[in-house]
Amino acid sequence: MSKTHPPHREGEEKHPVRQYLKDLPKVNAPWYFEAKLQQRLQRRSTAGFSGLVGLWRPIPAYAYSVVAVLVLGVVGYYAFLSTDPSQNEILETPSPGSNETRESPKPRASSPAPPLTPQVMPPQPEPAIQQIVISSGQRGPSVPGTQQVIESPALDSQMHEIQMHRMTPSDSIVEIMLDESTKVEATTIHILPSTIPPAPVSVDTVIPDPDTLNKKHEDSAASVKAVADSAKEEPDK
Amino acid sequence: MLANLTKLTDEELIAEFQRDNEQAFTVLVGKYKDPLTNFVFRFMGDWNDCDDVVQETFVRVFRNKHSYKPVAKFSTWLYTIATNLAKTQLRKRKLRSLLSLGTNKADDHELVLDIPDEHSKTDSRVEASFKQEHIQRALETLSVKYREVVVMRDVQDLSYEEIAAITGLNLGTVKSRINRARTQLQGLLRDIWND
Repeated sequence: MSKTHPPHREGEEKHPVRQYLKDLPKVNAPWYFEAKLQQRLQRRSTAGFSGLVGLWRPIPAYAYSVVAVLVLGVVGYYAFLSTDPSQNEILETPSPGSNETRESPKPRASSPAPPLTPQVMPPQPEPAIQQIVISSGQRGPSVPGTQQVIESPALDSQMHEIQMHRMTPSDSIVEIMLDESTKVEATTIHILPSTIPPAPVSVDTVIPDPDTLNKKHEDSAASVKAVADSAKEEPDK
Repeated sequence: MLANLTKLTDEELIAEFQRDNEQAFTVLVGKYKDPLTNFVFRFMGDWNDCDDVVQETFVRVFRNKHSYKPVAKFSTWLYTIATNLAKTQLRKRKLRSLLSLGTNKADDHELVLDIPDEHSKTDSRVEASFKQEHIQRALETLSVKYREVVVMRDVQDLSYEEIAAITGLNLGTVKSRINRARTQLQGLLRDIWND
């Protein structure tokens, strides 16, 4: 470190940085190095899990992670196998005022075909709030989570209106438009108090519109009258 | 027996050790503990880490003695192990400093300054010590890939071929990295030359 001259670029040996680095004092191992190493070698032979079970080679660290992942995989696989995917769960909020017992959800595959028409309940003396269990329109085995429970007074009144308009309740399907993009099919109706505020629901039915019927009747009456008029005119001629 | 072993080359010593002659290992440790400590200390800049890495290097040699094949020099194999361990230790230290809120660099510097020195320091010694400290700090500011080659070449005086074998790089890459490392160090140590 006595040389602090400016650099001379005459080759690698004269490179100032090389000179500086070469002149750095040598750092030696401490006096206890070999004793510590000996201690470390002896400790290593009996340390850890491999020392406990008498393995000559130490177990690599990643082996524990691999074993953990394998165990998780096996447990998860058997947990998946033991779960019945056909179970449908209907999430219902318990109604404080209702003493009515509810039916537990049944697997759709094992139950008979659901009725296509809603079960019309007789008019209740007190304002009845209906709960409609609605399943999505997809076919095939039902998947948990596809059924929804809707409790809405507005829906109740609209359903009641539908029931009033229905002449033959067994031959049509009530289609309820929850929004413009989703069509759902009503399958069962339970009586439950409402807890959800009224949602904007529009109801379409397959019942013919009275105005359309009236117009058709008027058109046919007009055509009949025209035919009758023409028939009256012919004898005159 | 030990006197006979000291006359053997490194490759013959490791071959003896592979035949379960632990005296050969002792000779190898005695021969390489100082140069390896010097290399690792200049590379890492921390005395505690350096001691651990050198110890672990010899433990690995002891455990994996049969992994050595006489296609390369023993010193190349030894420096490769030490370099890999030192890099791993540097990564761990970096991760520790990232995770630990209380760690700051001043603590690390204190560890290096605590190397015992029994001699009383005159002014020239203090000045030399300051310059050495400055050079060591400049080395530590280099990136690892430049630092390892420049320490091997300029501190340990290894040949380009040996450095290429240890690092697994091409000879041209080694030379260019050494050159860039020196250029960076030259810029960092400019104030020393101005003095």
